[in-house]
Amino acid sequence: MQQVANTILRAVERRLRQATDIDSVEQVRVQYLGRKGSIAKELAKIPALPDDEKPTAGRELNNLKQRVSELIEETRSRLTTEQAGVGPRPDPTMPGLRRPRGTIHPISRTMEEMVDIFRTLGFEAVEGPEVETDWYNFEALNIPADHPARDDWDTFYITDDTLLRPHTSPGQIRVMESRRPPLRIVVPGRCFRRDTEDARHFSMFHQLEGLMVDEGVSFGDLKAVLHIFLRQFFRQELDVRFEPDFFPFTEPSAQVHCTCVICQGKGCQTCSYSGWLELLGCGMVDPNVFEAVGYDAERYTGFAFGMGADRIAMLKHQIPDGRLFFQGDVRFLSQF
Amino acid sequence: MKASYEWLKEFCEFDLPAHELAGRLSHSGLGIETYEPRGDDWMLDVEVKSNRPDCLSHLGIAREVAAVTGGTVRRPELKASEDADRAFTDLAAVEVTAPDLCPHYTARVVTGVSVGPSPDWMQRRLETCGVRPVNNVVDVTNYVMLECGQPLHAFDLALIGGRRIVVRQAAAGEVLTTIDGTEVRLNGDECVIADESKPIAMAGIMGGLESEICETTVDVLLEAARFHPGSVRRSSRAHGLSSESSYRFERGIDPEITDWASRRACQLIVELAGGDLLQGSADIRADTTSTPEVTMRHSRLALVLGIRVDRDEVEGIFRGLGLEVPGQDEASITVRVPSWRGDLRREIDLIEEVARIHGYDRIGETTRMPVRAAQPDVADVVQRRARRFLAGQGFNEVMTYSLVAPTDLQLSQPWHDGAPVAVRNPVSAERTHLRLTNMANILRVKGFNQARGTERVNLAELGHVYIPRPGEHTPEEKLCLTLLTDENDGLRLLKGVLENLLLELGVTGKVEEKPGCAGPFDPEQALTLRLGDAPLGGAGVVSDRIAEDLDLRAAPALMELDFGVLTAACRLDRPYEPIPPYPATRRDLAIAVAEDVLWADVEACVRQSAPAILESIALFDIYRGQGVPEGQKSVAFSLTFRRGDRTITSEEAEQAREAILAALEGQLNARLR
Repeated sequence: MQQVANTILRAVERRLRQATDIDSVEQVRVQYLGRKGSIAKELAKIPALPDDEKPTAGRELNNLKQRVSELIEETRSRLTTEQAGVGPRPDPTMPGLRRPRGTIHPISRTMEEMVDIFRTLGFEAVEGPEVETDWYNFEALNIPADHPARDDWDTFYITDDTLLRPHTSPGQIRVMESRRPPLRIVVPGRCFRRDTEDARHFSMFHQLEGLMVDEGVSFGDLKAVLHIFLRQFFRQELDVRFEPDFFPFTEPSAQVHCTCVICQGKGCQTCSYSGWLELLGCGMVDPNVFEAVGYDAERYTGFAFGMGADRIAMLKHQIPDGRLFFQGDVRFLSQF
Repeated sequence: MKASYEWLKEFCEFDLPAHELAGRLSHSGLGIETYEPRGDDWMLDVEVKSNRPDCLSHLGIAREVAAVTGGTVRRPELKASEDADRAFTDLAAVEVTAPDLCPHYTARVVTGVSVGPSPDWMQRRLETCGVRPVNNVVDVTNYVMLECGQPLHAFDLALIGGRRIVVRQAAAGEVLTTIDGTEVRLNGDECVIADESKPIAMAGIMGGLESEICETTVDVLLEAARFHPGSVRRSSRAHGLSSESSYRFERGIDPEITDWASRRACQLIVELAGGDLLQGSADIRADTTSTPEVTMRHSRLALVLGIRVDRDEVEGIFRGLGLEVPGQDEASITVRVPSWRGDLRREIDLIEEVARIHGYDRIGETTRMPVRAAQPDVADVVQRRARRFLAGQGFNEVMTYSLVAPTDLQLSQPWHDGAPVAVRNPVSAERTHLRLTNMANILRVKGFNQARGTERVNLAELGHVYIPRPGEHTPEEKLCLTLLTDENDGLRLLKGVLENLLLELGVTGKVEEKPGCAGPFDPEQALTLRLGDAPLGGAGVVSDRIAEDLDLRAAPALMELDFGVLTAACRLDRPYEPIPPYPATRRDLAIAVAEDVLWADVEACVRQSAPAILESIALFDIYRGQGVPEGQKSVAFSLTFRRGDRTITSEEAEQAREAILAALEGQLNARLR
């Protein structure tokens, strides 16, 4: 049996040396290791052998089988590697394939982020109509007809009494008319003013205004809320400065400045080298406004604030010309 | 208002350099926008808000300076001497027949003046404040106005007909030529200064050309008056005329300064132009000055500001502002409001004064926000989901203008047949009406991008269109989702996006399509869409003519949807649908049909004849050419069959396919390929 095994082994070695492809190797396997192959035939002869020769023969044939298997595997391996070298070479450094990516408008994003921050402080977002009446837009906000304060809002009119809102404050009046205090709302939305358009002035823009009314609401609360908002929105520590200002619907009123978020107060073009940005107007709600909506001005106090979302988006992303927002150039939109 | 630093020092002593003064004033509420050197002086550009008209003068600003520096306010001394022999009444007369429009009118006369240039020091001060010097008499009127806030006007007395001034309402149709040369036709609402026969000035706004001071003037009538703010404002707007005077009258004048200003001006006129001041004056007044008392509670101050301010400091602040303090106790303090502070009438106004002088920076941030319930906002969630979904589908969100020009393209839409809402006072001819659709705008954006080299775009806009409502002035603000694509098979692509969007929003209804839709579409490639019984919108391929008009290389596809309909039908928290336990079997079918048979017809026929085991049908090919007869097309689709109770057999699937084929052959004259 030993001799038979050696013969077979040598034959396998010779065949495998000459093999040039996987198919040839497979043929060798079938011929020698297959069910009807040479080794199987020899194994079939074992029962006919004398008893004392059986164990040796079995062992030798099994060793042979193992050895042949190994050789076949080695040959297969070798051929696979060689063949890979002969075909086209893969290049994993080829550029990625991008699925088409759309974008959300930077003003939509800015408004969403602003609303989300105020939501964490318990403010509800409410929307009001863009086409408003004179009463909601001016009179109820303590801006009587024929008052010079109206010059600050150069407004588009449809009829004597209907206009395109120049601020979202009328939305706040509507909510106050339909709900009792306490109240914590923000009113985002589109506004219109008769401004000649240039890089920083628009006839159409977006605002976010807010209002909180409760017992014991103070100017200190207003400062705290706005400071929290600014830090979260610009994702950095910053100082705030409140300077006295005037709005007909708040008393006392203030302008809010914060450390320039582009240069962190060192001075740059965005902040005109002052280190500060003026971002918001705010104040304590004027009692005349409470009277107009039927709130008890003795029992309740409140604060209100407002900011231009387009302008803030321009600051945050250092966009020099706001007209880019509405032109729809996808080379601009795709950046956000 | 532009003010002079040196001039301010005459009204209040202070020791601060210009930049520090600017800082201190801004910090307490009088914003200094810019300050620039002017020779030996500085110009401070003061931003005066409409609640503080008292600051439209150096005296007013000086009061603020005194309040923040602790200084004292002083005024130039009046030392006018009147001619003992001649009286005002000898040479002139004044009558006021419209006291509502003019609650106070004073006039004085200076005779024998020599009109010439005013001295350098006065010219420089006027120029620093942005006022052009004219001649000594006119310059004095402007100078005194800048000093104390009272507008003045000087008339050439000889040119006042009958030497009589009548302060009256205009008669409609009267004409007046103002000093800037404008010929004004009066409408009858204005207050005018008239002589015995005609108007010679628009009261408070602008003087007349005829009676203006010039080199030949000898006798001057000096007017110092107060006119009704609303009347001045209305007249000013009606005629498009305004001046430094009208600006101040609109905002309010200190009633107690009028006579002082008149005396001061006459004194200066005599000093600079010579002449004699006649004795006495006309002084006709219909109202009285109110100097109300207002009380502020210390507890209220603490509540509103969130801090306590020491009572002594509060008193010091009020006195520093020129408010008298007639009384106070533990709980409150009462002030008497002087004539120049028309803005201080309520407790809250006093609280603001304390806050701004005390310093906003000394009010700390306190947070004590109770937790309160808020209403859930489904509409917002739906909008955000839609935005994110569309971005994921490769669309760029655009925002376009609400105001448009009412061109044919802008009016081409499925929402409204009539005219759009018009704005009365547009700023541009391109933006005069509220849009009825977003489609026209989005087509222009496509053109904009093409012109700049971006060929392929997928655009989405989620914005309001404004649909007029019968019998109402305010339109319906309909939120529309508008999509544009210029990829191949754009209409099918948009329909696919809509289907995906419905899945994203959990909308269970199916969209019904009807051919044809109002809009910028090729009529053969347009669809009207409905969701349940609500009109959803329209979609289609833009017509070739419109694409050509807009210079587009190929006709894009558009879709516009009423987003409110989607929001109403959406279901954010969908219930789970069981996954089918048994496998499906697919059979394909290819049929040849006449060219005019629509896919909708094929699908309808299949579904109608389909047994319950038909789960879905999907078109995968339309072919024309070899093997298909002329005037016909081959439509190939797959049918998916599945049973809910056990695995479907081949025979069952075959039977179903046969039944469907028979129906197609019978109803649509289809033939198996």
